[in-house]
Amino acid sequence: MRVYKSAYKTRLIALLFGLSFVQTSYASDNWLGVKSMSWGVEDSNLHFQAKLHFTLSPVAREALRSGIILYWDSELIVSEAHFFSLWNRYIADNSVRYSLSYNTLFNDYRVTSDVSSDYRRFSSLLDAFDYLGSQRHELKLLPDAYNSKCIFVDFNMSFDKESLPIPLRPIAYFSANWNLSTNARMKCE
Amino acid sequence: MRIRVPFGISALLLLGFIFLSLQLMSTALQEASPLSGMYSWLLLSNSVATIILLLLVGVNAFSLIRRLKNKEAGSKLSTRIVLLFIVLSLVPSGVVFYYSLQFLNQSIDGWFNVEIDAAMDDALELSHASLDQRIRWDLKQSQQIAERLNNKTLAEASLGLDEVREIADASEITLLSKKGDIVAFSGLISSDILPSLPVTPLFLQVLQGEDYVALESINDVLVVQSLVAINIDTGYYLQIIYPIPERINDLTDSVEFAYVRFQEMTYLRHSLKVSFSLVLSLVLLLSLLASISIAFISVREIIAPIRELVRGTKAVAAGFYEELLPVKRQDDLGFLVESFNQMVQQISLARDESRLSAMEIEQQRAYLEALLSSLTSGVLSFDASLNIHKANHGANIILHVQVMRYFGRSLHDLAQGRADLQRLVDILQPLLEKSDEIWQRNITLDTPDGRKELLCQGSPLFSTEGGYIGAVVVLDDITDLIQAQKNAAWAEVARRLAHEIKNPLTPIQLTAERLQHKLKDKLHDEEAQLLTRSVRTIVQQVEALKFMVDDFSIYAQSGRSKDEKVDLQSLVHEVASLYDADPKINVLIQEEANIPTVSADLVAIRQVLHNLFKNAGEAMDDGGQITVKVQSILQAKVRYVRLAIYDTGCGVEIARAKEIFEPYISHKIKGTGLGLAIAKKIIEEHGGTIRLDSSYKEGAGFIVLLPAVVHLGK
Repeated sequence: MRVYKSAYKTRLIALLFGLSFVQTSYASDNWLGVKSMSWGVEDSNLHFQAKLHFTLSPVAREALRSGIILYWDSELIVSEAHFFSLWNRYIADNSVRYSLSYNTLFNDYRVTSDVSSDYRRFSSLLDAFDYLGSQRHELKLLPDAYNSKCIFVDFNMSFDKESLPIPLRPIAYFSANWNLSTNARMKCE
Repeated sequence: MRIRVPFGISALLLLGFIFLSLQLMSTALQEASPLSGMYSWLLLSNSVATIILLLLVGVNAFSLIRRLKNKEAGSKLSTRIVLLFIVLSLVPSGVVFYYSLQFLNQSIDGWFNVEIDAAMDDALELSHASLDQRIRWDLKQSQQIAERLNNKTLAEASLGLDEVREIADASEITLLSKKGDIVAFSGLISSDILPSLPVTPLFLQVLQGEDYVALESINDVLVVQSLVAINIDTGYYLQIIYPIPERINDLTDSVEFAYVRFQEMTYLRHSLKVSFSLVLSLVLLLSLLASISIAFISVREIIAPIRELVRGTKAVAAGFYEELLPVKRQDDLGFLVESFNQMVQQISLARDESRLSAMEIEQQRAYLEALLSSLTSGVLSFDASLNIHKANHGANIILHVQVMRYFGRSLHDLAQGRADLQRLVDILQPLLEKSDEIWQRNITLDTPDGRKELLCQGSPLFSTEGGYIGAVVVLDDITDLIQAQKNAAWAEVARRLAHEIKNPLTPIQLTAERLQHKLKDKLHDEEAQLLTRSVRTIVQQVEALKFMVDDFSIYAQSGRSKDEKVDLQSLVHEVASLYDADPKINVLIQEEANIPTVSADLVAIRQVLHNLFKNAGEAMDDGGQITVKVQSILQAKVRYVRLAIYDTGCGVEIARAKEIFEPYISHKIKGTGLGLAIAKKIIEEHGGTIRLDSSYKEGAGFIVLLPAVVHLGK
């Protein structure tokens, strides 16, 4: 397996065609990054694991400590390569939404996900980062969806700026402190 | 087809769009608003609208600058109005913007003063202190319960848990073994079968010999969880969970919520300022750009009739009066355009009338000029300074000068270098200067063409106001008239002479011859010879008288009884041969080839030639040479045959040259004095001229011009 930090090749081809095939990416920020990814298929189930370098900028930390809840969307998209990766065929996807908040009364950090109604409490931020930095996805593939053809696995950990308080949004769009997203692509050899 | 949206509608649409967009963004700024999710999009759309408006303003500004450079009509006014719009919109908007920002910043800063901050901290600390006290109290109670259970057996302790729980007012009591297994459990809610177990790290902490107590949230309910050791057998642990009173729970939640919100707001303080400033700036920019855009659009509407007016003015200046400007408005500018149209119509009417008058004047002038040109009389007009103002073609012919070259100059200038005209000027100038009435003079001029009799009539000219504006002189060449009168008189004399004298001549001659016949034999020789001499004298004189009367008869008769083509060269040779026979006379004929014929009476022209040859011969008693030159010449676009006859006789004195063509004027011993007069009369009757060649000094020379017959194609 090879890990691509970004779809440079795709963007290059898309640029050559001069059309709107540019795929946006935030992989080059300092706060989040994919350290390792792996995936495998067993009994039509795709198992995906990713280890992220997960941290927050001081500004984001301050916002978190000030009671602002931060949201991420962890998304996995499986597609089959078509025509030099320009028109990939969608196979399946999975998405989990996470929130990270600080509780003043208990002085702990809480991580929730839309997978379960419970939340996890962390006495330190690093523990919360460790939890968020370990991403797992499991996808049920249709029998004919996955064959010997080459498939792409796109992983996105997207920070949801639209969930920030309104006054913070314009700043978040133009400040690198809020580039808290990352993505990566894996494809078969 | 280009669709034009009316100004009002386009302005309303623009303003409506901007107000709607700003209102949506304003609504989206509120967190609770359903539009808050669209805030970024609204911000983006407003930014895009701002950029579009900026581009629109830029394009309009560029267009205006280009029109200014090209000095197009209305461009300066447009610039002034747009600048005025900008100033009028920028100043109040800027003031409002500045004070709004100030107010906003001060208001936001006002929310976060030190007292509120301290109060929030104090409230949170109070909340924590209250809970800490509660926790400590609950821990103490747990430790006391543990002490009471120390002396009991496991069974007693297990059975007494319900009682203990009720006494302690706890929600759960759980007896745990050293391994963490549940030994006994008592819960407030009977349906709860399993207790809320402590997490492993906590249990391990208690195993180390430290009691544990903490505030926990179980099922979103705030509780105090305590874990203490009891000395039963090998050692057991007692977990007691105390509920927090609902009121304290609510108050704690409220304080925490308020504190978190305050912290959040404190953190967003700067962002809020930036965000509101951004929105306000966007509002200012959009309003300003919208105002400027509307200014450009409205200026275009305002300037349009002015540009039309300028275009119309230029058209009028170029002489186009037909096109009227469209009246599209009912305001002051519309009234101006309407007035302009009326003015143009009036100017057009006046111009047409003026043009008509000018045409009439021109026609009258042309008619007058044609009339004057067709006049054989010469007309000279003078201005108030008696300089020549106008002259007709007749004046040129009579005076033998192009009078138009002397327009604006005096009569003296006209006569300069012309001795023949000096006499005319000497007579006319005083008359022009002094006469206030119509005057008339007969003036005789000696011109290169001979003597001319002019009848001059003059009149001063006065304007309608009565002021002197000049004079006019009419010159009539009456030479021919006088000549005709003289000719007629001489013809009458000749006719009477022929009738009164010729009739008695034959009886006189016959009577004299009869006397000689009857008396010749009856007289002595001497007397008979006297008679014969006397009768011969009588007969000779009668013959002479007959010749003279015949000449008069010829003069009296019309010289041109028929027209035929006459070859003048042949006729000259024919007549010349008769005179060339005289041994004392040598006739030399010089002629050009292809001399055209003339239309004339052959007998009359032969008479002229005879008279001229005879005149020449008689002028040369001792003999000499007669030179005849026959030429074809073009004079004043008319082809003439020129016949010149020169002799080597005594010639004609210049002083007498004027009267040699008068009848009965002869300076020779022989002749009746009618030869040249008859020749002149015949030539003039043929449309020709005869004159003495004054340049010839070796004798007398006469030049005859007869119109040639011109064949078509030559």
